[in-house]
Amino acid sequence: MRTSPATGAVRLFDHTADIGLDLSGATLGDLFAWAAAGLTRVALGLRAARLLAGRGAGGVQEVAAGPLEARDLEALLVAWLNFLVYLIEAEHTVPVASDVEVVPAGEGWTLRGRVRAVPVPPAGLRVRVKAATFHGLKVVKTRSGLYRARVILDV
Amino acid sequence: MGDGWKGPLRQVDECRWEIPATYKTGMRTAGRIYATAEMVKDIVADQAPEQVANVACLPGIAGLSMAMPDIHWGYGFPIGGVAAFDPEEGVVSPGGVGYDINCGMRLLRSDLTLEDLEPRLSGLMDALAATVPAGVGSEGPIKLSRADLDQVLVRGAAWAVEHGYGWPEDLDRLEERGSMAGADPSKVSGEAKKRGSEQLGTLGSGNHFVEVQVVDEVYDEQVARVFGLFRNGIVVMIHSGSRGLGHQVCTDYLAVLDKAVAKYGVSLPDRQLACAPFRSEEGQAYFKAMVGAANFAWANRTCLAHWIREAFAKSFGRSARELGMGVAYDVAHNIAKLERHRLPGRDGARAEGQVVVHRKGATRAFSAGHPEVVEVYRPVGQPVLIPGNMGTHSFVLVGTDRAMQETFGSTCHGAGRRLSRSAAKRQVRGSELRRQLRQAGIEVRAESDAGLAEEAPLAYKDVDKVVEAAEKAGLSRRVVRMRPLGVLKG
Repeated sequence: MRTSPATGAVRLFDHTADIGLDLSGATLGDLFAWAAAGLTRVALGLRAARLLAGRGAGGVQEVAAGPLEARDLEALLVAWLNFLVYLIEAEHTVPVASDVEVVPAGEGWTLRGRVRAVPVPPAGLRVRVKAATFHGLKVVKTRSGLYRARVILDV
Repeated sequence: MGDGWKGPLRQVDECRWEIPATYKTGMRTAGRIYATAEMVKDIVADQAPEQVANVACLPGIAGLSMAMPDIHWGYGFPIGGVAAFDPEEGVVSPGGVGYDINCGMRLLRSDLTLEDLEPRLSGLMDALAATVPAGVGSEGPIKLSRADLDQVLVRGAAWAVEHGYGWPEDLDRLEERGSMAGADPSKVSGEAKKRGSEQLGTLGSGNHFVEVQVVDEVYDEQVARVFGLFRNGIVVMIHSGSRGLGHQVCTDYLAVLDKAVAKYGVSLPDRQLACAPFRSEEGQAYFKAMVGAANFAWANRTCLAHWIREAFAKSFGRSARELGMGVAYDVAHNIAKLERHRLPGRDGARAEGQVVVHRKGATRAFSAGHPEVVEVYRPVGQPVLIPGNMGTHSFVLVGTDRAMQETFGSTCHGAGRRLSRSAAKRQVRGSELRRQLRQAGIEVRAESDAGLAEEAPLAYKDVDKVVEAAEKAGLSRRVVRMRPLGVLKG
């Protein structure tokens, strides 16, 4: 499981009181892994997120992700981020790496995989993310085959 | 910030602006924004007016899609949005309530005066910081079993009072007496319950706060007296909500209703407006869970008030009862409620009927004599609690007949944000802001300078102008103004 996906990137941007993520990836798995990385950067700040990702195996937990199901990729991205928001707030663990597979299933999409998460007490969070929203949400596949997404986090 | 809004906005009078129902396909009614011409310049700087038009597209909307003077861009509904729906033909939408269900305000009064407080302010603020669980990951000393949590969801503030976190008479001065009927804990997910189980009695972060204030202006002596407020008197304002439990309820039901939209053939201009017919299985499940979260929030603010009373008692060496620290009032500003209003019929005559009123960043402002105003305030009308932002004034208003006629008894809820968190931090350093506030005689206790800067007064609209616009429009009337003395930021 890599701490940074093989392809793509995440960029954080301002949205009035909140924070958005611009995401890219050559595969849907990478795109969704960048979403997880972006959420961690928001919750901890970039420096702390990097420090945490570089930490050894002490306290690291592997958590099964999904299966999460949604009628389209946009709703699946929101469901994925909200699953991670729950891990951070209720389980007090912050994702530092993820390896997920996103595949068509029936009339919608399914995500399954694993998340590597590190215990972080509530006091260790910089920003408390309430939820990922549907506001301005989009997931597209460009002509070059790259996936791009935009999602806004309510903080 | 996004691009400015380019749609049509027709000025009706000094504080009323209309988006015609012909503006976009799907609008079932017109939009109305309450604001002065000066405020409109800010309002059209982003897409909040488009959100007013989007809400007008929802099935079963009764009357206009409205926005109060503190309107700004939200998710689905704008912040400051008010819309009512026919319970038989209309919808309920989590996007019309928001993530922080029953985010709201509570005001504690006291018999203390500014002269009593000033020598002890610094120590009091230290005591508040030590007593009130606040900040990004705040958890409190109350650990709820699942059975207890279910009771909180059903009984709200009454549960807190019975467990020693409040006074029985507090309930007489809370909207809905701190407990809305109709909660069903089985409709609240295990995830939501887990998020809430350690957060009762915690302030949270972001724009949540406890503020010690002095009443520095009285506009209506008679009504102020009824609310227990007087010039130079010390009050405490609390801003908090349903914490992670409410956020999770919203998240859970947005996913449910996102699917229901296709099932019920609802066409939406914005996916965050996911909704379902109010009487449908999905709509009722959301409503019953939302009521539970709202009750959690009332219990939360009751427990917060308890910690605050303890801090005051410790600082003054007298009990909170001896200090006269009763509740002045408690209002929700993110909620959907089934209410009775006089609705315009097809023939123009008004008849009373039920509607599901969504207030998202808007406050109920029922007028004198309304049966849903708590008995002690029924002769004068419902108090409306309007927070400022650290260095600025806050207000207590009172509901009006005009609000009953036009806005389903609703008015503004606060200043309204105008700068992003990052933009605020670029304009002011937290340490500098702390120094400026101290120079102005305001003691601040905040977890971090960065968090303080994000909530700087310059990040918000001018609350005095918001309140003035609401009063000019006749939606509420000023009773008293407060200025801050000490701020505990979440």
